[in-house]
Amino acid sequence: MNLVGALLLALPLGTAAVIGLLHRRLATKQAGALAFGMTAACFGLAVAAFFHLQGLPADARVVEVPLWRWMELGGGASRLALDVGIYLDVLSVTWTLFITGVGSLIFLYSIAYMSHEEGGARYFAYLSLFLFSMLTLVLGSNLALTFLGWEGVGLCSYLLIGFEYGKETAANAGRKAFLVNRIGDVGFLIGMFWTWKLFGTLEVRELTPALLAAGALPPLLAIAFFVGACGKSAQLPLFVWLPDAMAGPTPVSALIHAATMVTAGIYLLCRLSPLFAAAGWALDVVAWVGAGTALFAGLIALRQRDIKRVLAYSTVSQLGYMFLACGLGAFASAAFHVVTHAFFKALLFLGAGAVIHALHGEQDLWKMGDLKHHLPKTARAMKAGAFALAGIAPFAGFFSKDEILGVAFAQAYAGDSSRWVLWGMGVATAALTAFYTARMMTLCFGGTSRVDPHLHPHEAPAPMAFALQLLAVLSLVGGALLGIEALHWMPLHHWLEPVLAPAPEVHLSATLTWALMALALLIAVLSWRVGAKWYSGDFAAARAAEYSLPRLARAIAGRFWVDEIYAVLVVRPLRFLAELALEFDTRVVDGLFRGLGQLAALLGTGLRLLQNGVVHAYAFWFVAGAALLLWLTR
Amino acid sequence: MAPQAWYLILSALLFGLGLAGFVARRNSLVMFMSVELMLNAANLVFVAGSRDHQAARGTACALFVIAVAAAEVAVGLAMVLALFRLKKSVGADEARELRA
Amino acid sequence: MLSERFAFLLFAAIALVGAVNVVTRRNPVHAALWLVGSFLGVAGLFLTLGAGLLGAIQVMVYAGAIMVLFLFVILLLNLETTPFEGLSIARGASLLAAAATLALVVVPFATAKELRAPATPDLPELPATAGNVANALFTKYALPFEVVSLLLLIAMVGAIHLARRPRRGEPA
Repeated sequence: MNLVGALLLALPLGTAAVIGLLHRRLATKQAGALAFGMTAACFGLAVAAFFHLQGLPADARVVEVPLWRWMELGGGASRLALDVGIYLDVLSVTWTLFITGVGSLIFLYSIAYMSHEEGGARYFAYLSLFLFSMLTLVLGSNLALTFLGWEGVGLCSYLLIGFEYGKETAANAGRKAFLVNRIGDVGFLIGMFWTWKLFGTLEVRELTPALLAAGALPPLLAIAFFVGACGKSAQLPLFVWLPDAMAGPTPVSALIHAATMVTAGIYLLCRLSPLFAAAGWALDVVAWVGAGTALFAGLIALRQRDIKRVLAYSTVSQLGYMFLACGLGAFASAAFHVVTHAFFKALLFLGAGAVIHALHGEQDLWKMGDLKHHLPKTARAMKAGAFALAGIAPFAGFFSKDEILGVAFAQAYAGDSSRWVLWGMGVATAALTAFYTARMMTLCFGGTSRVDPHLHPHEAPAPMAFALQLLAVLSLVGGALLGIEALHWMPLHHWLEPVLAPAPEVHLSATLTWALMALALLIAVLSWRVGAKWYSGDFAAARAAEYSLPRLARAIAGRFWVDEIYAVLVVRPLRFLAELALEFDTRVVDGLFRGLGQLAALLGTGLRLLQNGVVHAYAFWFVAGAALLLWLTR
Repeated sequence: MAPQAWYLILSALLFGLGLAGFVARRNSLVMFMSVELMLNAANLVFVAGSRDHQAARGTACALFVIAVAAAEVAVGLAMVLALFRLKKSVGADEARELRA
Repeated sequence: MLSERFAFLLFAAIALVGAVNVVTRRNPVHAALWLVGSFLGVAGLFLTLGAGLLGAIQVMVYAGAIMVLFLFVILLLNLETTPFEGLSIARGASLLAAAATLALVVVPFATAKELRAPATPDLPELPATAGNVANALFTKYALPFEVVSLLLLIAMVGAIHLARRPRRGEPA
């Protein structure tokens, strides 16, 4: 097991190094094959780790692989000892499984997708580095290692979003992602420092029992970590980078911005669930921010015309669901939704990538249509993902989303009336989700073709299609396999139970549970129907309707002006300060040095006048100098 | 015994005269001679200073000074000759080519 | 005592008068001859100080060789008496500086109690006889001695080269 753990980190890092150093000499296919092989191997290792843990008794499912001592600072009361090591427990193995599993499918897909791109090998180097960072984040044995991986994925996100660094939108988007993430990172750092101050350690194996034994904990400590999670997982108000990040290649969007990096925030919350559970009103903040983000992003997704942006806002919205679940105390439900979301969101993105690829770069929904005839396999696969997203049974998303709504309802029913609002927001978001998903699917695959007649869309090549099919299968059965609450079949919950803070003890009667399920299904199907109908007919009318709606619609279209607010509050003051600093640098600092240079030149010119070739002048200076020396040493 | 200070003051005066001559005269040969005067003054200090104490060493040092002065005069006068051939004059200010 | 002081004053006068004339005579030959006189005065001073060897060497080398060389060159170049050009501001400034230097040298010499070499145990207290001087030269100052001989060789070679008449076809 030690070897497994070490290899899980060493393989991606090694691959990244090899491809990175040789990237000019490697063809895209070669680099891609190497990277895919590595990822598949990592998945194998993850499976092995999973089975090993399964063989252990339920309360002892931890394997620690210490690698080396990283640093030891201070002494006595203010001592900080950090090791580099791997902490394999049920939570980290779960994450590792879907990261490497979905990841390897995306790597495979990328080989075909990037085959005609410039610098493809560099892409795979970045991807491998990303995998390494993500695994470090998840498998790290202490918070500092997790933060290292945290930063690493942020860096790789920047590198990959801005992969086509010549394209200005991509470069700007990469920068924006990195900077907004940074804001969140401040929260993480504060949380880390505070944690160390309170508990003297950052090691997971020591923190968890300490947190459980601690009694009440300061809510702000949890909020600090939550701020970090908001940055990484694109919650209000730090979500603005995610839609712009769509400027990167589509497999990147699938991997990083749907299935893995954005789930890092949830991972953090799950890992620190004892902290959150004991931190007073912190969980309420999490729940409200999550629900708010879900609704907010769902609204904005209604009016997006770029297919990838619809999916981006949808991701933000679904992440909101996950945070809502955490906020309600149902950490296992959040993890459940993370896994199902990874399946269907990756599928949707990869499918969108296939569509874009077939249309040679067209991403505008209004210029698609009737693609199910040209791309039947893609259309079928994406439909599975779309149903899963919309929450239509028996597809994966239905079960996980239903669980979350169920928890909210249960808590509201048991007397906590604020939960009614949260439940309502969740239900409204579910309806919106189904609606905009149907809109997207219909505009893209159904209706009449608005595709540019010069384009001849063709089905996706084999590697891409394979990935799509596999993910489609997972989107179909993945949810049911992992947990159906009503049938008391909840393997994922039981698996994760020992590690997470216990969920609040509220239960609904069986009848209510089934009723809620039926209600959710009904809402989803109805919303889907409405959406599909509206857009499949005379789309021109629908489009006109979109553009003519009153103020709320315009607000939605303008994405609630969040970016504009940022521009005024944050960007402009920063620009001003930066200009100021630039002025200071060029005028004062550079001026100082230029002045020194000019002074030297001036001195030189002056001294040059002494060299006039007249011997007597020299003699004079001789004597004068001697007199001066004698006088000084008198 | 004449007091040592007298010798020292005398050598200072000789040195000063040599310095004045070096500075004031235009003829390079006379400037040279002034330099010789200064060297002599230095020799006087060597010998006078070591009259009571380690006299042999004072004399040895003075011998070195004389030897160096001889070498210097040889080379210097050769240079004056060469310069005279070029400029047809021994004025020290005639050669001004080496200027900035 | 008295005779010593008298000797000092006599030789000092010769040296000083000679020096003044060197600096002031317009005719270079005259200046050279006065310098010889000044050297003889200094030689006498050496004698009063008990450095007989040095006095002899002064006469032989300085007055007898170096000044002869000077006179050779002056006569070879057939120099004329240079007229007095007048005192320019530059010249005045230089003289002022020289005067200042002089003052700065004289004053400490006049006011110092005694000029004393640092105590060195490696040579015994010996008068400046030829034997003792030779001893010093060949033991303590052996290295400078050798170096000076090298210097003289260099000077010789250099002087010959510098003063050579350019042969036909060679640049000056």
